[in-house]
Amino acid sequence: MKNKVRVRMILWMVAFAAILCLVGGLLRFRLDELFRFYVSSQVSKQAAIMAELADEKVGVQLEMLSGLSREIEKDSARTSAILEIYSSDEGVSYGVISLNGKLVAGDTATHVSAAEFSSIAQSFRGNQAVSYSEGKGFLFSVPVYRGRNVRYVLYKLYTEQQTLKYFDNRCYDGECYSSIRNADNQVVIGSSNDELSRNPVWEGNNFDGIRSRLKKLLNISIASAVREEINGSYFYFFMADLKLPGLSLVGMVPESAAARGVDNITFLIFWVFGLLLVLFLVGFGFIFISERKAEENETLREEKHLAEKASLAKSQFLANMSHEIRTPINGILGMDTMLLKECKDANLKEYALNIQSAGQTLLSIINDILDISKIESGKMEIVPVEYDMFTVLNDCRNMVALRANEKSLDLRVEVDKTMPSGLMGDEIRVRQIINNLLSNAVKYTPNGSVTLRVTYERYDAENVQNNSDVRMVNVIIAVQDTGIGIRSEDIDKLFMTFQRLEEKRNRNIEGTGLGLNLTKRLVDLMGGDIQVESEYGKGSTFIVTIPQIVKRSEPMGDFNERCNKASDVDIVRNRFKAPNATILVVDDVPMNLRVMGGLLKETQVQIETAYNGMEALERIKRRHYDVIFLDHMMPVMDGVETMSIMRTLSGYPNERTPVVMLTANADKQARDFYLQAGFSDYLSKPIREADLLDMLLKYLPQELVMICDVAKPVAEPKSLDDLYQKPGASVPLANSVVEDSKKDSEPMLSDNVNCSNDFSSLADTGFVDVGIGLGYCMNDEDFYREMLMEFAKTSKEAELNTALGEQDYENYRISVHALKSTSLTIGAVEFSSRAKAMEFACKEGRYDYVQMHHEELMAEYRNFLKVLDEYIKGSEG
Amino acid sequence: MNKSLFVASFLGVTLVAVIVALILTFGGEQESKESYVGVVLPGSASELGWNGTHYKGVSDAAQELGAKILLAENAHEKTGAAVRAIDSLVEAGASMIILVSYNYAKEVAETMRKYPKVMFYSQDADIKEDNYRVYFARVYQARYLSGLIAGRVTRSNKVGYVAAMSNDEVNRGINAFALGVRKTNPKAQVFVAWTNSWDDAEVERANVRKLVEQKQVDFIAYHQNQGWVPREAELLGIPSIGYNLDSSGYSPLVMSSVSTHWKMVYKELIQDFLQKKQSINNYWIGIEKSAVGLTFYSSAVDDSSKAVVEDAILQMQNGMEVFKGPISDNQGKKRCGKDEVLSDSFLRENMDWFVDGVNLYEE
Repeated sequence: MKNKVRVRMILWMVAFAAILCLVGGLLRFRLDELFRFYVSSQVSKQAAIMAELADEKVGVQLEMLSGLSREIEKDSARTSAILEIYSSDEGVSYGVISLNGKLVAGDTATHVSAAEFSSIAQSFRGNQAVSYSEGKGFLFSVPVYRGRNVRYVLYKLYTEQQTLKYFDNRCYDGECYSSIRNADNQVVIGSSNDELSRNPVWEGNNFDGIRSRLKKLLNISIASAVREEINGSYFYFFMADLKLPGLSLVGMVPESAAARGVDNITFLIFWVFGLLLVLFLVGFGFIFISERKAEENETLREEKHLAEKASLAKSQFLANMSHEIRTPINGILGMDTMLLKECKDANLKEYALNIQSAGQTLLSIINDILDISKIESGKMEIVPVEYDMFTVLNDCRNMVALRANEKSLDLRVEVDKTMPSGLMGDEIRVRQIINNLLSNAVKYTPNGSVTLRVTYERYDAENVQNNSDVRMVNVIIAVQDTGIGIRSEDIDKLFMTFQRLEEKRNRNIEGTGLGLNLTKRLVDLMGGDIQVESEYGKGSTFIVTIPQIVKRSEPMGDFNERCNKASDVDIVRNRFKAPNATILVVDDVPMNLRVMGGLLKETQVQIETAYNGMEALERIKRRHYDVIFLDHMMPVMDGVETMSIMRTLSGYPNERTPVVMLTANADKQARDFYLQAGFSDYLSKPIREADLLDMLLKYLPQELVMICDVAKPVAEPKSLDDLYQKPGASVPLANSVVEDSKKDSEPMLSDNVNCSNDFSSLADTGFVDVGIGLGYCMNDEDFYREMLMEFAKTSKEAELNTALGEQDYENYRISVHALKSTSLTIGAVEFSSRAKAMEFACKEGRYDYVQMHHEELMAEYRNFLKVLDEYIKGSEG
Repeated sequence: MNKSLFVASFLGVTLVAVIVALILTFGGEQESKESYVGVVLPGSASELGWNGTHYKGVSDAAQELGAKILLAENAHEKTGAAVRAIDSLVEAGASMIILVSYNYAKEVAETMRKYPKVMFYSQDADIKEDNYRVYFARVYQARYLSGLIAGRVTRSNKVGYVAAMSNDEVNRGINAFALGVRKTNPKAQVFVAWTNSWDDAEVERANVRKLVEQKQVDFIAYHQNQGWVPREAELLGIPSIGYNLDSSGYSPLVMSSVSTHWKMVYKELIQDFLQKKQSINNYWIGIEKSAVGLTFYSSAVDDSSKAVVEDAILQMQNGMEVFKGPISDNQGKKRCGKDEVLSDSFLRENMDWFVDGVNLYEE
């Protein structure tokens, strides 16, 4: 089609050019014709003027002669004497002859007769006349009367030479030739232009053709001119009849003289025309090219659209497929877990374990495929959110710790103490990269250690334009193992899709070869870099460098110390009871309210709840509370707004009640902002028991609090490894592997084994990090289960769909925010991150992103809920 | 798409056509303006004789020069028809009008002044208008030649001449004829009988009979539009000379015919008009351009007579004049001395006399 269009365009262009050339040719032809016509008419006018001049001269001669004749009439006796006076001129002779031809008086030397000169007969009839006789000359004659009768004829004869002298018709500055000729084309009076007079055209009958053409034109006009080619050059021939019968002025003039300057005009016109043609062609070409470009763009756009559609369909398909596959796998794994739990036979148990392991692998492959297909279709987007580096690293380590333990590998984490704690970047992908590298390292390391080293370097971003607020760092993540290593020749193949090195040797190691490829792609996507240093047989180091924006630059501190602390969080030192205290908790998410209730159950504090700011205000006006917990983000009226209204009120029971903000935005700036807004303090969500108890202890009136002794002293973990065993309840199958060495460190663990087995099937779904979830639920499994049920019960999908449908992004943000925090509470870290990304997008007005990823999130959500449902049913059954 | 393509190509073709047409017609005001020659005839253009020969002459000349003829026929004299004819011819676009009758000029003098831009041509030299030119042929030269024959043929020495009316032209013809007769037969007398009409068969025939019966003429000539006179002469068995006749349909008794090649005359004046020039003299063309002459000899003309005529023609072409002296009129008054010549103006304007030997028939 494109070709056809091009051919058509070219045809058009050629047609136009042809027409223009045709018109140009025609114009040239026509112009020439017009100019020739013009020049001809000018030449013939000139000829007419010359003829008139000749007539004038003849007329003067005749009038003079007539005067002479009248003198003779008066006094015929003096005829000879009178003629004598005039006959002095050389070559001119006068005479008076009678009818019988006798010369009455005058020049006797020349003899004229009526037969030679027709004018004599005419004059005898009383007319003035002129005639020419070859060899004799030019004769003017007038009658001489006696009374009314003609007596004689008076003549004046010019010899031929004299005639020439007297009548020379100079024209065109002497460049033309003119002559007076009789009816037989004999020259009566010639002109002095020798060159032209000797032109061969005048010889013989050469002139006859031209003459007849001139004569024909003369039929209807006083003078005529034609253009003729003589020996390669053009001349204008002209002719004009004199008044004297039978005489014509005939001559020629070169075209160069007659049409001087005309050539220039033609030349100019053709230059202009030619330039216009060129201009036109250039313009046409331009239009042609731009048209083609437009067409190409059109085609490209179409192709792109098609490709996008295809890729969308593909990724949609893949997404659906993976969800579809994941669900039954989850089912299989769940059932398998049940089998493991209930089966007593060692062999069957082993089979079930194999199923478990294969299922896990399958699940991760599917996830990887999904990600790769996303990257390939360009759908994978880097969604920057603010995240806490410590949490990420901690979670990653927890993820891999079990497997490292299984293989008795030494898992070490070394993090730069000055590492900024709050970073901005794609949290999910950073987690994924670290997880991939770690699990890869664990996979290929038969014994020894795996070390995760995280440092950073300042990085002067060229693409961030000297914005002093935005600081960037390159986070350098190095994973070093003491594994099998990679042959140097294989390093290049390392990141290829489905590439596995040394198949034979590694056939026992499960994997598809997607992991590293995906990692590299993710790193590339984030603008980072991945490098491998490896010594075959000794081990490898993968070094990933990714640029991230610094949000909070407070140093993270010693990673391992913090890990210990984090585990300490749950060790509540200040247990108390305050049955007389009453607090108000305001949160739109019922689950959060329940969390609060669960966390404070032991304190016996009386809790009242409200779902939004309006409701809270109603309650506040009615009765006094000892502490108010106000969630930030709520529909109808959010926490900050509620607070500002509260501050305007007066004379109500809670004027002095401390108000604690519940927020997910736990950075320093936010804190300042809350304090300024009138809050007494803030608690970051998900709420940890210890923090909450500390907060209450701080703000509840002393008289209401009854401090109890620490109920359960908890032993400090001895090593880093212990640390992630600490929320060990989450680690499934721990009993079979961890056994002796760590058994005594946490006596409660063994009690919980059965329970944790319960949760292990949940953990295997990949949605939930049970450890984290339990952490938020005071390690109270019942409470955690309750929370899970709560989460499963209250689907926010309809709410979100409606908000999106109405493009109500504010409500969407609130809902997705709630989803984020509730899912985090149950330990669904990844899902929470997704929800968080959506919340960020809403906040920043990137509604495109929201629309594009909503369906994905919902699918994930549905899937998650389904899995939860199944789990809940399974565990109940 | 197709529709717009169609519209575009249609516009393109139209545009090109317009451009080409513009180029081709540009400056097309070349002198192709039609020239119309108006002709007013007293009789029918198809008539054999005066009207027919004039019309043939003028139409042939016009055709040769590429001019168009506008004809008004049967505009009878003294009826006002000529004036009406001129009005309609001018309206139709005639820029020159030839009035093919001697009497028209006087009749339409007023009308000529009404159309100063139209050029008029007729035979009456007495009329002087800026836009009026006199034209005629020197028919008298042919009359002279016919007189030479008549003088040799007559035995009774009495020659008859039936003429329409007395005016310069008719009289000049009578005088030239008489001079010819007397040249070959000095004793001969010419008897003139008036009909007072250019075309009146009855009167003309009656005049022939009267002249034969009462004056004993044995040869007859005439100046009338049609050939009634030679018809009557044939009936009477008398030889005659025709006027603007051809030999067909007549017996050898009609010995010859005086005629004019009007085409030659008309060509000259139409051409001059088209060339926007006027001759310094009047249009009076004669034997030197073969505009006049005898069209034929019948078998009754003997060789010696022919020789006489041919010799006279040669002389005239070499400067011999019909009206050269000595000439006396029939009252005995000398009109032209020896070796003198009557000038053209005299011939045109002052022919109110007859040469010696002319007798007017009176009943």
